Amino acid sequence: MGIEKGKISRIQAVFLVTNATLATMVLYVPALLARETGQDAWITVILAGAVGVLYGGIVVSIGARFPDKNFVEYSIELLGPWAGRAVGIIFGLFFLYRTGVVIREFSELLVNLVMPETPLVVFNILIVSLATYGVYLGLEVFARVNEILFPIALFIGTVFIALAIPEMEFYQLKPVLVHSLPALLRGSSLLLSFYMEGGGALLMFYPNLRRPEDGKPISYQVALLLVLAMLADIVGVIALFGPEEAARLIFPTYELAKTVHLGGFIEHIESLVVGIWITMGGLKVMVFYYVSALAFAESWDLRDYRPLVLPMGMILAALTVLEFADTNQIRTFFRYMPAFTVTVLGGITILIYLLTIIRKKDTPGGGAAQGHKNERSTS
Amino acid sequence: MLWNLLLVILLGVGIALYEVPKLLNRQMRRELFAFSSVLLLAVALAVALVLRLPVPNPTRGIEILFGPLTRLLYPAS
Repeated sequence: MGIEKGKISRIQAVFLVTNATLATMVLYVPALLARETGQDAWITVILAGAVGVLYGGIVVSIGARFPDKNFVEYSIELLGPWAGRAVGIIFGLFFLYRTGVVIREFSELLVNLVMPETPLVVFNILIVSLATYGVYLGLEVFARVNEILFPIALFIGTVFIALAIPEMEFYQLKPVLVHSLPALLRGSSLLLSFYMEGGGALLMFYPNLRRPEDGKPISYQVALLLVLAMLADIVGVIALFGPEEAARLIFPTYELAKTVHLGGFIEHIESLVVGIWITMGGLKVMVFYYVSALAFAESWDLRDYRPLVLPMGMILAALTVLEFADTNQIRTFFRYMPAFTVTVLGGITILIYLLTIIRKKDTPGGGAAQGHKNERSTS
Repeated sequence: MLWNLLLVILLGVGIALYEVPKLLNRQMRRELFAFSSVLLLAVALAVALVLRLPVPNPTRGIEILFGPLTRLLYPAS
């Protein structure tokens, strides 16, 4: 066991990974999918879910092979100290950058929709301080908070979509499969890049499961939750606004919540949705931030990741301002994101997976003891 | 701008005052080194942003690096 001594249960891991994927996926992605594939967007969700299960299976089988080591530790073991640490640092930088993007996404949401007069930096700093506090307390703490809050958030989201059903017109989904296969694949590659981030985060805290050998179902449980949630969201958005209008909106799920009126006298309950989003977004930021801090600490052979947390928070606060100039640039970034994530995260994971397979053939007696010998001889 | 600069530096000093004694008590040399280098980087980045110096934008870097692949994925645009 490495730095993190906390233990989480399987259901906590499932909720953590699902939340780390879903929280920002419902923000911007429905509009981008509607622009790309129109009313066929729901097909891309299923396609991406199928590939996501495959990727999750790879992640889980690597994790089960090294039940007491996290990703950076076994990449050091498999690739040797130099290349392994380089992989760890790339992994950490990837998640650091993505944490910045996620924080920026949420502060843009707040500035655009709720408090347009407040400067953006205020929200950045608030979310960063919240996340820093959570990460400082450790994995167990935010895993438990997430275990309590995630079902509530999922329930409220479902209620909102259900309340909007009377306004929906499902004929707008009608010409099925009119979009070409490349367009569908493009849409699902965007979704897949979100799934992969969840999988990458799971690689880091897989050894903290109470029973790592029973972790296999995580891959399809997460994929099932994500596909169901995303299907409900996208079908709802497109049935409500139609594909053309949905493509033009910036935050389609928020607009969906805005159409809900309860009994003719309760209005503006979309603020509740924004509140839920900020909570879940804060937890997503915590997961990514934690993964990045832990990856850096493991790559630099530190005994604790906590000394890095506060300075990294300061970097994040600066990075969120630096990364984008406005909301449109975030939408442009999502165009580059599939190539970026699939190359970096997918490449690293598949490299490690292939190495574990080769290693298994080399040493039928099991990897761990042999690995230590190898590490010593190379270093 | 001067106030912002002062705030950034004060924040950096505050973080150092919070972490360094703990690390010194626990004799964590390596952690202290990592902590101070990351903190220096953070303060330098924040000061550069406050003074509006030209800082390389990581998003531009990603867009340049992964541009060819993205153009392969989106051939129309």
